Amino acid sequence: MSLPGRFDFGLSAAEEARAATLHRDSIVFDMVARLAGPALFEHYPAALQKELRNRIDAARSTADVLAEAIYWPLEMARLERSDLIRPWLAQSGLTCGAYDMALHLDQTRADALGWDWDERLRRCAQLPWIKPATRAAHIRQAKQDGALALYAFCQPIVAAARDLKPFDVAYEKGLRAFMLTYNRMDHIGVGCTERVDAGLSMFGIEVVAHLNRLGMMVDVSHCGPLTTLDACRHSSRPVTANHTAARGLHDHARGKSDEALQAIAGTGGFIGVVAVPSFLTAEPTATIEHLLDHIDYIAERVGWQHVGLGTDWPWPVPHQVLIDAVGIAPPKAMGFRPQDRIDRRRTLAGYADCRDLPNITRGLIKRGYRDEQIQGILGENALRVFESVCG
Amino acid sequence: MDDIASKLHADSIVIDACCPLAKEPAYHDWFREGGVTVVAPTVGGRESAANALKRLSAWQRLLRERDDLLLLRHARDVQLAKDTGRLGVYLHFQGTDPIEDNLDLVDLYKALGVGAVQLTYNVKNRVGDGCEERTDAGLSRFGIRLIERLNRARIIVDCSHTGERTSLEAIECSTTPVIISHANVRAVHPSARNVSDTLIEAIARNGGVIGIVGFPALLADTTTPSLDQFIAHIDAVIERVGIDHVGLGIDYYLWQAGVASDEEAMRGYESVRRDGTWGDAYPPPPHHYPAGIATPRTLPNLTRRLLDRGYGETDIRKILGLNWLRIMQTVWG
Repeated sequence: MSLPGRFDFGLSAAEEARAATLHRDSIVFDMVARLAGPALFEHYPAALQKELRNRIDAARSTADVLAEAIYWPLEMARLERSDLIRPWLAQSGLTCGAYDMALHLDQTRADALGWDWDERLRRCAQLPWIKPATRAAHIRQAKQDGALALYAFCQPIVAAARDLKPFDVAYEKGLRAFMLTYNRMDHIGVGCTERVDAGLSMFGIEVVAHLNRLGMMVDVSHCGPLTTLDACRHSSRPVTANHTAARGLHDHARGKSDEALQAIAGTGGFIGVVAVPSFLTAEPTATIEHLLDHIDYIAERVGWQHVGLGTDWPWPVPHQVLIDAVGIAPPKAMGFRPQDRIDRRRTLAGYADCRDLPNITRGLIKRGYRDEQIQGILGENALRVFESVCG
Repeated sequence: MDDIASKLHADSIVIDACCPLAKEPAYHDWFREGGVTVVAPTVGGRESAANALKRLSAWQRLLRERDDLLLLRHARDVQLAKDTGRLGVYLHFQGTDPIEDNLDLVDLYKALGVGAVQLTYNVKNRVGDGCEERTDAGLSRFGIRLIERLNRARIIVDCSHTGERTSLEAIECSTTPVIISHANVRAVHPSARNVSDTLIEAIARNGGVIGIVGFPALLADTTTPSLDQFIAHIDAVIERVGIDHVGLGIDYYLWQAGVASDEEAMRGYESVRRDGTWGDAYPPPPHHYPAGIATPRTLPNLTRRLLDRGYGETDIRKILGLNWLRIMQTVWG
């Protein structure tokens, strides 16, 4: 196993120096960054580890378990009990990541979308080095200040209600990206692991128009093929598939076909590549090279200006907690199937957590990308779309 | 003649399988006056579980307080309601949003008196496509699991307002007869809300029943339909699949002519057009139900007209209620 950020690409000393400078100077915008991975937790003092375990044991639902663990490192920093996550973030070079907004089960709440934003992110944002981002300028400022920008993104694991008002409330709270459907069929359209496929519903078309009006990114990552194409057809602004892969390279429901990639690029949009092993390859030992293969593939087909990062993996939760609370595969309610082969224990060699982000830069150099292209893939492409939609 | 009709109507079990009007207790007397034995008030379908439960709670109170109502748990309760002069009630969901992502709620709703669940309402939801939707993909994986659960809970699966493909797949999945509680024959009058011959035949093959609806836009190309235009759809179902698969799902509702003022009706109409749950299948009000049975109060006129038209007593009893009763016997037990 390589040290974080030191995957063996066989770079020369000059190439290493170029990679280090380039990574340091670039805006790194991972649209579905999961920050520190499971390994982080092993580095906390035993007492703090035990405390987290107790809080997790007291959590009422799987969603609460995950939320507790995901925000715990930031919470420990805020309470000045441990700054452990900071050097990890510093090592990553990450400029902007995602803050996940949950959908509340009670869809009658006006704040059903993003109901926990206040509770958790506002607390995190008390840290001087965390900057909630609702405009591109916030992300550029975070880069200058050495802070971590977080933009809010909602994946409707609980299907959104047939109502446009919650989007307005969520926008006010900072939500800037909404995924239309999550794996399954809902009021808006059809997800990518459904048994059937169809385009957007009439309400789905209204949602797209509403997100366009608000200045919120339309994301199609977990959408089915026809819903993805329909979203591109109906959106007047760039569309994202902020965490996906190329289906032409590896046939997986979570990947996008060439036609879909072209449709997304055709909107001026953005395709983020995941670090989830089973989405990238069927090979038993997946590495960061597979992730880079998908970047190559997408860049070749639709242009490097439309590809970037949406790693989403691994989840920043202690391994045992994840296995105990959620299981190796996601719960049935999330709409994944056995053939989607999700295994929470697996990560890519060369991408174990955010500290491996420099490996992306190093790998792209190895593959002969120019500095401008690498900066695009690392963050400028995502930032362009963010700015074009959100301002 | 008049006497025979009145007597037959009074003596028959009369079941209206779709009664949004009956969600208002004030109108229960209208159904009683019309000789109705069983009503199926629409108590939800497009709201969260929390809101559906509030409405169902109000029904629990009503059923406890009113000794002239009988909540039907089993098919035999229909005869009990008839014999004791009470209005039989089973609750109907038009839509599956109250089930949210939680199939256990199906059992709770059954316990609270929900006897029939319609899969979608005109538009797409988690289960499948509605009949006015721009797509018709079929059942979702959740939809299949929902039907299994409805079967196990002994709740009637209803495909009114549902897309054709979703309906056909529901019939295929369900182990008990699937019904169309309220829709008419598309070949007689074209509407996205009416059903094709293919679907009518599939419903009949699975032992189901189609309830004929009185909403004017589903009957004929007129805003003031006649009773014969209503009966034309009964005839059409019988022509296609025989007498055992037709019933009443008249769909008397709160904004129809004779209930709401024109202004109230228009306000209500505009709100459901705005939120998209009613599409082009629904012209603006006033909505006149068939002359002679414009409200449930005068429903005996239907029996009279059926007799005039030469229907036999046995067939009339099936149309008025016995076909629905067979579904209740099969599904509820």
